[in-house]
Amino acid sequence: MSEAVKLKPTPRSFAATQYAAGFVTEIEQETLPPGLNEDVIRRISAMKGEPEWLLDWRLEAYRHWRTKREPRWSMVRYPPIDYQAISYYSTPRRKGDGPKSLDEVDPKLLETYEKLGIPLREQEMLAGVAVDAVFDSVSVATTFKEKLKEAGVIFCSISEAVRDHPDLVRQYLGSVVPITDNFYAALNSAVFTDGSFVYVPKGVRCPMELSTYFRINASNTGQFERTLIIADDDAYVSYLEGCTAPSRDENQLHAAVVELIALNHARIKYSTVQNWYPGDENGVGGIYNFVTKRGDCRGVGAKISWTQVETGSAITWKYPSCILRGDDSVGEFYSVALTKNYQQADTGTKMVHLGRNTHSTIVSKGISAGHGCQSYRGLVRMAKSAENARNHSQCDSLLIGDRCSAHTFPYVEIKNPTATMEHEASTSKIGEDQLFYCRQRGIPEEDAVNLIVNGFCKDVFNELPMEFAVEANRLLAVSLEGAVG
Amino acid sequence: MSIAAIRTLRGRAWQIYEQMGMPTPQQEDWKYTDLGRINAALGDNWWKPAVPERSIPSLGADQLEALAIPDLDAWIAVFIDGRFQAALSDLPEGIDFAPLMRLVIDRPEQAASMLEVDKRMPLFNGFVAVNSALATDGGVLLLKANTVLDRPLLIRHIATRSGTAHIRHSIRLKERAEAHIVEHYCGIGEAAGLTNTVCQIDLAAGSRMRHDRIQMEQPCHYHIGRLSVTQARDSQFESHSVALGAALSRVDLSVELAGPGAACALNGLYLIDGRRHADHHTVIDHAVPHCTSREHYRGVLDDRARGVFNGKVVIREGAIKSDTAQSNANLLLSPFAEVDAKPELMIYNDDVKAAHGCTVGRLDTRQLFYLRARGLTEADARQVLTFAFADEVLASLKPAPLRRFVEHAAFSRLFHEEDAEEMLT
Amino acid sequence: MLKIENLHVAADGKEILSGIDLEIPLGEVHAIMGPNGSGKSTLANVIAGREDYTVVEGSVRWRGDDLLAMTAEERAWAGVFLAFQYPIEIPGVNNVYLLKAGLNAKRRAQGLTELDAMDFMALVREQASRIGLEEDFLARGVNEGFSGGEKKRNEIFQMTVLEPSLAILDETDSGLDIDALRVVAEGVNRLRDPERSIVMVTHYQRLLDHIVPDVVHVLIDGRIRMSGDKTLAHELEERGYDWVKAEVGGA
Repeated sequence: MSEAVKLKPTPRSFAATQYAAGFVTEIEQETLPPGLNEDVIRRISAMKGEPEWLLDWRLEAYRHWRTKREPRWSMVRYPPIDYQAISYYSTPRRKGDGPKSLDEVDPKLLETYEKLGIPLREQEMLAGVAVDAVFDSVSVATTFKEKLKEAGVIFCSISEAVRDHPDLVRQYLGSVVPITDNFYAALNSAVFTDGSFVYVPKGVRCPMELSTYFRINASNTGQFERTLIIADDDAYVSYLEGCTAPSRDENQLHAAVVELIALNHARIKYSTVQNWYPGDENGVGGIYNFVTKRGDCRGVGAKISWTQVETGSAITWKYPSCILRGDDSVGEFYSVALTKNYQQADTGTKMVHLGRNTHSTIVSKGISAGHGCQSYRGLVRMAKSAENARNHSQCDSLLIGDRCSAHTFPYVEIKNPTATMEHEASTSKIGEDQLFYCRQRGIPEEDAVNLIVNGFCKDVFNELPMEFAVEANRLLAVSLEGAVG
Repeated sequence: MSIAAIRTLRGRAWQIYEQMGMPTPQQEDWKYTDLGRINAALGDNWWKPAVPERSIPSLGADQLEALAIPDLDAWIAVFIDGRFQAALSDLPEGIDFAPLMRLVIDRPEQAASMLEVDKRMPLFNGFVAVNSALATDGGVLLLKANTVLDRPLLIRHIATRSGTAHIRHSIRLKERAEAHIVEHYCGIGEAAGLTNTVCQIDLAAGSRMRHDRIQMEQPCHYHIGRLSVTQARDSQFESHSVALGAALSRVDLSVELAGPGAACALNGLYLIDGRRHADHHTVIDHAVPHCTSREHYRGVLDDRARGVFNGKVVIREGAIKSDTAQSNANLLLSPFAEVDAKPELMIYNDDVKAAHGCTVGRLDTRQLFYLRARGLTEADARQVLTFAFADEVLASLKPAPLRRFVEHAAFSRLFHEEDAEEMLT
Repeated sequence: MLKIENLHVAADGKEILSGIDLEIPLGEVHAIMGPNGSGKSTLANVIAGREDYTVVEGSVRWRGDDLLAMTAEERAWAGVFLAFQYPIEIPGVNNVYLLKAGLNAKRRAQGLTELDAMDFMALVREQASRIGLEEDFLARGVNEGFSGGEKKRNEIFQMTVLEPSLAILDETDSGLDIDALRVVAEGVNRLRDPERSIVMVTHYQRLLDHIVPDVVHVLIDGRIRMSGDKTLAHELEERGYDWVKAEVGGA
């Protein structure tokens, strides 16, 4: 038995810790000048050829927004945002009407998505995943439309939906997140430019995973997309969103609204892999991700589950929530969030139990490294009507290094004596003992950290669709590189 | 330092109150407690002291007896409507105890340092400022190094009339001193009044204190209480905070673990019925390394009662090897009862052990079934289990007469008197 | 061979090992015995590269390589395996995955190609069945919720898969009932090989009835006080450690 004498750690480029999605696409863009007033909203609406009712709705939202103040209760700190310095509309320039097919889409755009690992040409795609690609303010392509149409599923940009399915949009838009809901939701309602729309009719199981890839490219613009997903009685849909942006020194605002509606016995699974540009190692630049996501289990036995893997953004402020209105409805929230360098995240969920026998599960795994600051903020509310409601919450934090912080703020409001709720939280660091054990088994320190972190996140990754679980794993590993040392 | 200087200090405190006003539900720390009820019952001048200067309250011996804790062998300091009653008190010789009113005259500097408003105090609010401005009396106790108070010191607070009793206590234990303090709050009559107490506890290195706070005021009474504890190296603090009475009560308990090796254990029970509202806010601040904290609060809510628990644990940067565990469990007995809980962890350091848990639930159906299978009626089985649930907190009360007294007060509220008797024997 | 010279080790400013000299040739099994607190576990951990200890003086060489200059994982790649006295739980990390990651890192370091998943699983299944571990055991988190005996068995299982050239067993017999002890001993005996050295750190001679050592060393107060053949273990069992102290003290 002879063993190699030269024993070196596996070579590994730490340069790989750079944000891989940080490139800029050189493309001609049409961008509205910075600033926000009623005229800007009228122009956005006109450019999109919207009906009168939608313009009125936007204007009402805008007027309401002007009366509101930015929320300040979260554990995130940032300089004041000048909302008049942001451009509210930016689109790749195109000739005449929008592209009829992918062949008409600017090759530079296709290239951008390919570089991000999201080929839009159907033959190259992951089988069984339909994609809507949103570039800055507009949707540039939606794949597998025809195949979905056969099943009766509508999957298109929300602009198209306004044009082609106005009744559905008018019925559901703002019915989960009203324009008065909060500061950012009001702003989004006033200026949203695009986003995805999904309608799955009664009894239909959507034949493939649906996904939207959001890309911020232009500078000085905000991204305000609006997503609306409706699963009619007994329908099922699994939807995934991914997000990236170029590395820039300035902060950019992303204020999206996502509304989910699940009718009787419908199920919606919504997964997010959020990798917006997080800023550099000194905390310069990065996306402000101020997002309102809410699902309404409107029907009996409906189920909505949110799974999120959050590694990007300079600041994250989001609480994907479930209103459990229908009896026997189920809400789930599975989250992995990583903050490193100077990233800040205040994230969690709200489970509002209104119906009888409603159940909710919360599993939140927070990892904080460097100067990262992370808060779990969750609400479990059980109304007087929520007979036999149940919740189980598990919130664990893992700290890496002595400059980071992790906070847990669970709000529990129970008004029904038959309800049960359990909340558990723990905070720990990666144990020296665990690291030594792995290293003694021959696993280099960086890999050992990844291994332990992945074990820590396993309950959440198990909830992701297979392909994306692998992606999430990889993303976490890349994000963690250099975080330990 | 003169009385005039104290007057100036009180004036400043009053100004701070006027700027801040009473807390409102818009403030995060008061989200679930609306003080509108106090205004409605006591009016805008809710702060008006219950007893005008120089008027001496009095209670009959039988009335006092009825409110006493039977068989408790303790030193006693009595306050009626916020005024110290020397004639009714029984204090040991040779310890440094003075009512605040005497201190203001004899040692104004010490009184001034006690009444100084510190806005950085955790959960600071207008009530503390008002207390500094208007505190009529209180107990000031200093235990010298290495002294052990041989019996518990029972501080009896009895409310007999409308208006507010602003009471300010200060208890300091020097190095390795030991004491057991019982603050008992009760009252007679139907007059709507308010108790507004601030108790500051300072524990020097190696000192140990047990502190029990038993609030069983009249249903028409309101209660705002504060306990601020600072702990030096290797000191120990164990407390029970029990809320059984008052229409609305709020207790803010803050502990600063300021010296390595300091440890605290906070226990609490809110067991309320009717339309009562009981709010407990606690803050445990791990400011330095190697401190330990334990917290265990339980709530039993019947009728239209509402319980609020907010427990915050902060572990500062550099406070390595901190060890904290917190739990809060609640039982709702009625379809109209409500509980709002918010256990918080704020951690700025990776070398810590921290966990918390919170539950709200009903009685375990398997346990209920088990008891019924042994022949208990469902109602009896519920009583037994409710008793067991609440008693987890009360069982660690010492000495036995105190435990018996509090258990009795708690369970006679929920059960028929004779059932309670039986269960407690 | 393993060659330790004048090894002085301290932790928290206190000296624990005070000049260890020890040679363990290839192919031999040595037992290191001693009372509680004598420094046995420290020695095992220092050889494996635990960083909680400070090596004040001395050297540890394994087949000529300076172990003290290597990180813990480099030592593992050089063939050093420590069966932990208290195996660590790593929630959520699959038992087999840990082994595969460790084995492949070693192969990469040696310039070998990584084992493919099929070959690896075949190897793992075979070794698991030999040590009497159920299949579902493999898919569980590393030591997560294992009983004391399962953890110890898992250590031996990992050892048979990783095939170390220097195996150090730290109190592997503690907490095992007689049946489990037999299974563990069989696992270790199968690994006896002219190209492999085995070090058993133990308090009792019970394990040595099942794994018969070539040499027994007695470690007291941070130094090897006496060495001998397997009969020394029996003598210690009968007469206790104080006898050694008296003997050495008198010498």
